[in-house]
Amino acid sequence: MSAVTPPAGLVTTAELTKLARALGLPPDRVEFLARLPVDDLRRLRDAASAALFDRHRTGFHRMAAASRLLPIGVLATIAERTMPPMLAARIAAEMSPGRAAELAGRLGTDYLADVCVELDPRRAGPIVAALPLPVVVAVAGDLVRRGEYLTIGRFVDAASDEVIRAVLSGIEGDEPLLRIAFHIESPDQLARVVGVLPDARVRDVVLAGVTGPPELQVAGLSLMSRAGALGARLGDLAAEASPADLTRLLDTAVAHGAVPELAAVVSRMSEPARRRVSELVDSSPHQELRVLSDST
Amino acid sequence: MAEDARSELRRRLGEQVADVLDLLSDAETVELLACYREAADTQRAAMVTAQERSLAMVPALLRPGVRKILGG
Repeated sequence: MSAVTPPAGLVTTAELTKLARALGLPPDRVEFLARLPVDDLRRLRDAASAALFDRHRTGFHRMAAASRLLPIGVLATIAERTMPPMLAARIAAEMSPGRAAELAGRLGTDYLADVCVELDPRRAGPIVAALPLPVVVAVAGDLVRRGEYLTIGRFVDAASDEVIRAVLSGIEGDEPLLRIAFHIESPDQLARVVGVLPDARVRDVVLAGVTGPPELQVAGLSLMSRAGALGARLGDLAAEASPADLTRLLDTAVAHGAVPELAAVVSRMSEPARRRVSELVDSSPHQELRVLSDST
Repeated sequence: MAEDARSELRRRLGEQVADVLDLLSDAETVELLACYREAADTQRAAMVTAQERSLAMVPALLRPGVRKILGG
Protein backbone atom coordinates (compact mmCIF):
# COMPACT_ATOMS: atom_id res chain seq x y z
CA MET A 1 0.00 0.00 0.00
CA SER A 2 1.32 3.45 -0.78
CA ALA A 3 0.67 6.56 1.27
CA VAL A 4 -1.60 9.09 -0.37
CA THR A 5 -0.70 12.80 -0.32
CA PRO A 6 -2.56 14.81 0.81
CA PRO A 7 -3.81 12.41 3.51
CA ALA A 8 -6.94 10.78 2.16
CA GLY A 9 -8.18 8.77 5.11
CA LEU A 10 -7.61 5.05 5.49
CA VAL A 11 -10.78 3.69 3.93
CA THR A 12 -10.32 6.05 0.99
CA THR A 13 -6.73 4.88 0.59
CA ALA A 14 -7.87 1.26 0.54
CA GLU A 15 -10.59 2.11 -2.00
CA LEU A 16 -8.14 3.93 -4.25
CA THR A 17 -5.82 0.92 -4.12
CA LYS A 18 -8.69 -1.34 -5.18
CA LEU A 19 -9.80 1.00 -7.95
CA ALA A 20 -6.24 1.16 -9.26
CA ARG A 21 -6.07 -2.64 -9.18
CA ALA A 22 -9.38 -2.91 -11.06
CA LEU A 23 -7.95 -0.64 -13.75
CA GLY A 24 -4.54 -2.32 -13.76
CA LEU A 25 -2.87 1.01 -13.01
CA PRO A 26 -0.50 2.20 -10.26
CA PRO A 27 -2.35 3.76 -7.26
CA ASP A 28 -0.95 7.24 -7.91
CA ARG A 29 -2.87 7.39 -11.21
CA VAL A 30 -6.21 7.53 -9.38
CA GLU A 31 -5.19 9.72 -6.43
CA PHE A 32 -7.03 12.64 -8.03
CA LEU A 33 -10.27 10.91 -7.00
CA ALA A 34 -9.35 10.96 -3.30
CA ARG A 35 -11.78 13.77 -2.52
CA LEU A 36 -14.80 11.63 -3.51
CA PRO A 37 -16.91 10.08 -0.74
CA VAL A 38 -15.86 6.48 -0.06
CA ASP A 39 -19.21 5.01 -1.11
CA ASP A 40 -18.98 6.81 -4.45
CA LEU A 41 -15.42 5.56 -4.97
CA ARG A 42 -16.64 2.04 -4.29
CA ARG A 43 -19.48 2.41 -6.80
CA LEU A 44 -17.05 3.79 -9.37
CA ARG A 45 -14.72 0.86 -8.82
CA ASP A 46 -17.54 -1.69 -9.08
CA ALA A 47 -18.77 -0.08 -12.31
CA ALA A 48 -15.29 0.09 -13.86
CA SER A 49 -14.49 -3.48 -12.84
CA ALA A 50 -17.81 -4.77 -14.19
CA ALA A 51 -17.42 -2.85 -17.46
CA LEU A 52 -13.92 -4.22 -18.04
CA PHE A 53 -14.83 -7.79 -17.11
CA ASP A 54 -17.95 -7.72 -19.30
CA ARG A 55 -16.21 -6.42 -22.42
CA HIS A 56 -15.25 -9.83 -23.85
CA ARG A 57 -17.74 -11.87 -21.93
CA THR A 58 -19.60 -13.40 -24.86
CA GLY A 59 -16.48 -15.16 -26.12
CA PHE A 60 -15.61 -16.51 -22.69
CA HIS A 61 -19.16 -17.68 -22.19
CA ARG A 62 -18.86 -19.65 -25.42
CA MET A 63 -15.57 -21.14 -24.27
CA ALA A 64 -17.05 -22.13 -20.93
CA ALA A 65 -19.98 -23.75 -22.73
CA ALA A 66 -17.63 -25.64 -25.06
CA SER A 67 -15.55 -26.80 -22.09
CA ARG A 68 -18.55 -28.77 -20.80
CA LEU A 69 -17.80 -31.29 -23.53
CA LEU A 70 -14.52 -32.24 -21.85
CA PRO A 71 -14.02 -34.37 -18.72
CA ILE A 72 -12.86 -32.15 -15.86
CA GLY A 73 -9.44 -33.84 -15.58
CA VAL A 74 -8.70 -33.27 -19.28
CA LEU A 75 -9.89 -29.68 -19.00
CA ALA A 76 -7.59 -29.07 -16.02
CA THR A 77 -4.61 -30.47 -17.93
CA ILE A 78 -5.36 -28.31 -20.98
CA ALA A 79 -5.86 -25.23 -18.82
CA GLU A 80 -2.65 -25.57 -16.88
CA ARG A 81 -0.54 -26.47 -19.91
CA THR A 82 -1.92 -23.97 -22.39
CA MET A 83 -3.89 -21.19 -20.76
CA PRO A 84 -2.43 -18.09 -19.18
CA PRO A 85 -4.12 -17.59 -15.78
CA MET A 86 -6.01 -14.51 -17.00
CA LEU A 87 -7.74 -16.57 -19.70
CA ALA A 88 -8.56 -19.40 -17.30
CA ALA A 89 -9.98 -16.89 -14.79
CA ARG A 90 -12.27 -15.35 -17.40
CA ILE A 91 -13.54 -18.76 -18.55
CA ALA A 92 -13.97 -20.02 -14.97
CA ALA A 93 -16.10 -16.96 -14.23
CA GLU A 94 -18.55 -18.12 -16.92
CA MET A 95 -18.82 -21.67 -15.54
CA SER A 96 -21.24 -22.71 -12.85
CA PRO A 97 -19.56 -22.22 -9.43
CA GLY A 98 -19.68 -25.97 -8.83
CA ARG A 99 -17.87 -26.86 -12.05
CA ALA A 100 -15.40 -24.01 -11.63
CA ALA A 101 -14.63 -25.27 -8.12
CA GLU A 102 -14.29 -28.83 -9.42
CA LEU A 103 -11.83 -27.58 -12.02
CA ALA A 104 -9.96 -25.52 -9.42
CA GLY A 105 -9.57 -28.61 -7.26
CA ARG A 106 -7.61 -30.28 -10.09
CA LEU A 107 -5.18 -27.39 -10.66
CA GLY A 108 -1.80 -26.85 -9.03
CA THR A 109 -1.69 -24.37 -6.14
CA ASP A 110 0.64 -21.89 -7.89
CA TYR A 111 -1.46 -21.78 -11.04
CA LEU A 112 -4.71 -21.58 -9.08
CA ALA A 113 -3.35 -18.66 -7.05
CA ASP A 114 -2.51 -16.89 -10.33
CA VAL A 115 -6.07 -17.52 -11.51
CA CYS A 116 -7.53 -16.17 -8.24
CA VAL A 117 -5.68 -12.87 -8.69
CA GLU A 118 -7.34 -12.46 -12.12
CA LEU A 119 -10.83 -13.60 -11.10
CA ASP A 120 -13.85 -11.32 -11.54
CA PRO A 121 -14.67 -10.15 -7.97
CA ARG A 122 -18.39 -10.64 -8.68
CA ARG A 123 -17.81 -14.34 -9.34
CA ALA A 124 -15.15 -15.04 -6.70
CA GLY A 125 -17.50 -15.53 -3.73
CA PRO A 126 -19.57 -18.47 -5.02
CA ILE A 127 -16.50 -20.18 -6.50
CA VAL A 128 -14.48 -19.90 -3.28
CA ALA A 129 -17.50 -21.11 -1.29
CA ALA A 130 -17.63 -24.25 -3.45
CA LEU A 131 -13.88 -25.03 -3.18
CA PRO A 132 -12.60 -27.75 -0.84
CA LEU A 133 -11.23 -26.16 2.35
CA PRO A 134 -7.66 -27.53 1.99
CA VAL A 135 -7.46 -25.99 -1.49
CA VAL A 136 -8.57 -22.58 -0.17
CA VAL A 137 -6.01 -22.73 2.64
CA ALA A 138 -3.20 -23.72 0.29
CA VAL A 139 -4.04 -20.96 -2.19
CA ALA A 140 -4.35 -18.37 0.60
CA GLY A 141 -0.89 -19.37 1.86
CA ASP A 142 0.51 -18.94 -1.63
CA LEU A 143 -1.13 -15.52 -1.99
CA VAL A 144 0.30 -14.41 1.36
CA ARG A 145 3.80 -15.39 0.23
CA ARG A 146 3.27 -13.19 -2.86
CA GLY A 147 1.95 -10.28 -0.80
CA GLU A 148 -1.43 -10.48 -2.59
CA TYR A 149 -3.28 -9.16 0.46
CA LEU A 150 -5.88 -7.35 -1.62
CA THR A 151 -6.92 -10.60 -3.33
CA ILE A 152 -7.18 -12.47 -0.01
CA GLY A 153 -9.14 -9.60 1.52
CA ARG A 154 -11.58 -9.84 -1.38
CA PHE A 155 -12.06 -13.55 -0.80
CA VAL A 156 -12.40 -13.17 2.97
CA ASP A 157 -15.13 -10.64 2.29
CA ALA A 158 -17.18 -13.46 0.79
CA ALA A 159 -16.05 -16.34 3.05
CA SER A 160 -17.86 -18.30 5.75
CA ASP A 161 -16.62 -18.48 9.36
CA GLU A 162 -15.29 -21.97 8.68
CA VAL A 163 -13.23 -20.77 5.70
CA ILE A 164 -12.03 -17.66 7.58
CA ARG A 165 -10.92 -19.74 10.56
CA ALA A 166 -9.07 -22.25 8.39
CA VAL A 167 -7.38 -19.61 6.24
CA LEU A 168 -6.29 -17.43 9.18
CA SER A 169 -4.95 -20.35 11.19
CA GLY A 170 -2.73 -21.22 8.24
CA ILE A 171 -1.21 -17.75 8.06
CA GLU A 172 1.89 -17.22 10.18
CA GLY A 173 2.81 -13.83 11.63
CA ASP A 174 0.76 -10.80 12.50
CA GLU A 175 1.78 -8.54 9.64
CA PRO A 176 -0.07 -10.51 6.91
CA LEU A 177 -3.24 -10.49 9.01
CA LEU A 178 -3.10 -6.72 9.41
CA ARG A 179 -2.52 -6.20 5.72
CA ILE A 180 -5.37 -8.56 4.77
CA ALA A 181 -7.70 -6.87 7.26
CA PHE A 182 -6.90 -3.50 5.67
CA HIS A 183 -8.46 -4.74 2.41
CA ILE A 184 -11.55 -6.40 3.89
CA GLU A 185 -14.43 -4.23 2.80
CA SER A 186 -17.33 -5.26 5.00
CA PRO A 187 -17.08 -4.09 8.64
CA ASP A 188 -19.30 -7.04 9.63
CA GLN A 189 -16.92 -9.45 7.95
CA LEU A 190 -13.95 -7.72 9.59
CA ALA A 191 -15.60 -8.19 12.99
CA ARG A 192 -16.13 -11.87 12.16
CA VAL A 193 -12.43 -12.20 11.33
CA VAL A 194 -11.47 -10.76 14.72
CA GLY A 195 -14.13 -12.91 16.34
CA VAL A 196 -12.70 -16.21 15.09
CA LEU A 197 -9.12 -15.41 16.19
CA PRO A 198 -7.88 -16.72 19.57
CA ASP A 199 -7.52 -13.95 22.20
CA ALA A 200 -3.73 -14.19 22.30
CA ARG A 201 -3.52 -13.75 18.53
CA VAL A 202 -5.85 -10.76 18.59
CA ARG A 203 -3.56 -9.15 21.17
CA ASP A 204 -0.45 -9.86 19.09
CA VAL A 205 -2.06 -8.51 15.92
CA VAL A 206 -3.23 -5.31 17.63
CA LEU A 207 0.16 -4.68 19.24
CA ALA A 208 1.87 -5.31 15.89
CA GLY A 209 -0.40 -2.61 14.51
CA VAL A 210 0.77 -0.19 17.21
CA THR A 211 4.46 -1.00 17.46
CA GLY A 212 5.16 -1.69 13.76
CA PRO A 213 6.29 0.63 10.98
CA PRO A 214 3.84 3.34 9.79
CA GLU A 215 2.32 1.10 7.10
CA LEU A 216 1.32 -1.47 9.71
CA GLN A 217 0.14 1.23 12.10
CA VAL A 218 -2.16 2.51 9.36
CA ALA A 219 -3.52 -1.01 8.85
CA GLY A 220 -3.89 -1.39 12.64
CA LEU A 221 -5.86 1.85 12.95
CA SER A 222 -8.07 0.79 10.08
CA LEU A 223 -8.75 -2.56 11.78
CA MET A 224 -9.47 -1.08 15.20
CA SER A 225 -11.72 1.66 13.87
CA ARG A 226 -13.82 -0.65 11.70
CA ALA A 227 -14.22 -3.66 14.01
CA GLY A 228 -17.61 -2.54 15.32
CA ALA A 229 -18.44 -3.62 18.84
CA LEU A 230 -15.05 -5.33 19.13
CA GLY A 231 -13.34 -1.98 18.67
CA ALA A 232 -13.44 -1.26 22.42
CA ARG A 233 -11.51 -4.42 23.20
CA LEU A 234 -8.98 -3.75 20.44
CA GLY A 235 -8.53 -0.16 21.56
CA ASP A 236 -7.81 -1.22 25.12
CA LEU A 237 -5.25 -3.74 23.89
CA ALA A 238 -3.58 -1.01 21.82
CA ALA A 239 -3.38 1.26 24.87
CA GLU A 240 -1.21 -1.37 26.57
CA ALA A 241 1.67 -0.38 24.28
CA SER A 242 4.48 1.79 25.61
CA PRO A 243 4.10 5.59 25.59
CA ALA A 244 6.81 5.77 22.94
CA ASP A 245 4.92 3.42 20.62
CA LEU A 246 1.61 5.14 21.26
CA THR A 247 3.23 8.48 20.48
CA ARG A 248 4.48 7.08 17.18
CA LEU A 249 0.93 5.88 16.49
CA LEU A 250 -0.38 9.41 17.04
CA ASP A 251 2.30 10.77 14.67
CA THR A 252 1.35 8.22 12.03
CA ALA A 253 -2.35 9.02 12.36
CA VAL A 254 -1.59 12.68 11.66
CA ALA A 255 0.81 11.97 8.79
CA HIS A 256 -1.63 9.58 7.06
CA GLY A 257 -4.86 11.47 7.57
CA ALA A 258 -6.12 8.86 10.02
CA VAL A 259 -7.06 11.13 12.92
CA PRO A 260 -10.80 10.40 12.43
CA GLU A 261 -10.09 6.67 12.70
CA LEU A 262 -7.90 7.26 15.76
CA ALA A 263 -10.66 9.33 17.34
CA ALA A 264 -13.15 6.51 16.69
CA VAL A 265 -10.82 4.02 18.38
CA VAL A 266 -10.14 6.24 21.39
CA SER A 267 -13.82 7.04 21.87
CA ARG A 268 -14.56 3.34 22.44
CA MET A 269 -11.70 2.74 24.89
CA SER A 270 -12.23 2.16 28.60
CA GLU A 271 -11.66 5.15 30.88
CA PRO A 272 -8.11 4.17 32.00
CA ALA A 273 -7.02 3.50 28.39
CA ARG A 274 -8.50 6.82 27.20
CA ARG A 275 -6.61 8.59 29.98
CA ARG A 276 -3.30 7.11 28.83
CA VAL A 277 -3.86 8.34 25.30
CA SER A 278 -5.17 11.69 26.50
CA GLU A 279 -1.95 12.41 28.40
CA LEU A 280 0.07 11.75 25.24
CA VAL A 281 -2.26 13.93 23.16
CA ASP A 282 -1.81 16.78 25.64
CA SER A 283 1.95 16.68 25.22
CA SER A 284 1.82 16.22 21.43
CA PRO A 285 2.82 19.11 19.14
CA HIS A 286 0.16 18.10 16.58
CA GLN A 287 -2.78 20.49 16.64
CA GLU A 288 -4.80 18.00 14.57
CA LEU A 289 -4.97 15.73 17.61
CA ARG A 290 -6.91 18.28 19.66
CA VAL A 291 -10.06 16.74 18.19
CA LEU A 292 -9.28 13.72 20.36
CA SER A 293 -9.97 15.79 23.43
CA ASP A 294 -13.65 15.46 22.53
CA SER A 295 -13.23 11.69 22.52
CA THR A 296 -11.35 11.59 25.78
CA MET B 1 -14.21 17.96 -24.63
CA ALA B 2 -15.12 17.36 -21.00
CA GLU B 3 -18.77 16.83 -21.95
CA ASP B 4 -17.74 14.26 -24.54
CA ALA B 5 -15.61 12.53 -21.91
CA ARG B 6 -18.50 12.56 -19.44
CA SER B 7 -20.86 11.06 -22.02
CA GLU B 8 -18.39 8.35 -22.94
CA LEU B 9 -17.81 7.47 -19.28
CA ARG B 10 -21.56 7.25 -18.71
CA ARG B 11 -21.86 4.95 -21.70
CA ARG B 12 -18.99 2.73 -20.60
CA LEU B 13 -19.57 2.64 -16.84
CA GLY B 14 -23.36 2.82 -16.88
CA GLU B 15 -25.97 5.32 -15.79
CA GLN B 16 -25.88 3.92 -12.24
CA VAL B 17 -22.75 6.01 -11.57
CA ALA B 18 -23.93 9.12 -13.45
CA ASP B 19 -24.35 10.98 -10.15
CA VAL B 20 -20.75 10.12 -9.17
CA LEU B 21 -19.45 11.32 -12.52
CA ASP B 22 -21.33 14.58 -12.00
CA LEU B 23 -19.19 15.20 -8.90
CA LEU B 24 -16.02 15.31 -11.01
CA SER B 25 -14.50 18.47 -12.44
CA ASP B 26 -13.92 18.67 -16.18
CA ALA B 27 -10.22 17.87 -15.74
CA GLU B 28 -10.98 14.92 -13.46
CA THR B 29 -13.53 13.58 -15.94
CA VAL B 30 -11.00 13.68 -18.78
CA GLU B 31 -8.38 12.04 -16.56
CA LEU B 32 -10.75 9.26 -15.46
CA LEU B 33 -11.67 8.51 -19.05
CA ALA B 34 -7.96 8.35 -19.92
CA CYS B 35 -7.46 5.84 -17.08
CA TYR B 36 -10.38 3.73 -18.24
CA ARG B 37 -9.25 3.74 -21.89
CA GLU B 38 -5.73 2.78 -20.86
CA ALA B 39 -7.12 -0.07 -18.76
CA ALA B 40 -9.32 -1.27 -21.63
CA ASP B 41 -6.44 -1.11 -24.13
CA THR B 42 -4.10 -2.97 -21.79
CA GLN B 43 -6.76 -5.59 -21.14
CA ARG B 44 -7.48 -6.03 -24.85
CA ALA B 45 -3.78 -6.53 -25.61
CA ALA B 46 -3.41 -9.00 -22.75
CA MET B 47 -6.46 -10.97 -23.90
CA VAL B 48 -5.16 -11.20 -27.48
CA THR B 49 -1.77 -12.37 -26.23
CA ALA B 50 -3.39 -14.89 -23.89
CA GLN B 51 -5.64 -16.28 -26.62
CA GLU B 52 -2.79 -16.50 -29.12
CA ARG B 53 -0.60 -18.30 -26.58
CA SER B 54 -3.39 -20.81 -25.97
CA LEU B 55 -4.16 -21.24 -29.66
CA ALA B 56 -0.50 -21.93 -30.35
CA MET B 57 -0.86 -25.10 -28.25
CA VAL B 58 -3.82 -26.32 -30.32
CA PRO B 59 -3.02 -28.51 -33.36
CA ALA B 60 -2.94 -26.35 -36.50
CA LEU B 61 -5.86 -28.18 -38.13
CA LEU B 62 -8.15 -27.47 -35.20
CA ARG B 63 -7.07 -23.86 -34.78
CA PRO B 64 -9.66 -22.21 -37.11
CA GLY B 65 -12.49 -24.00 -35.32
CA VAL B 66 -11.23 -23.08 -31.88
CA ARG B 67 -10.68 -19.50 -33.01
CA LYS B 68 -14.29 -19.42 -34.19
CA ILE B 69 -15.45 -20.58 -30.75
CA LEU B 70 -13.38 -17.78 -29.22
CA GLY B 71 -15.15 -15.33 -31.47
CA GLY B 72 -11.93 -14.16 -33.12
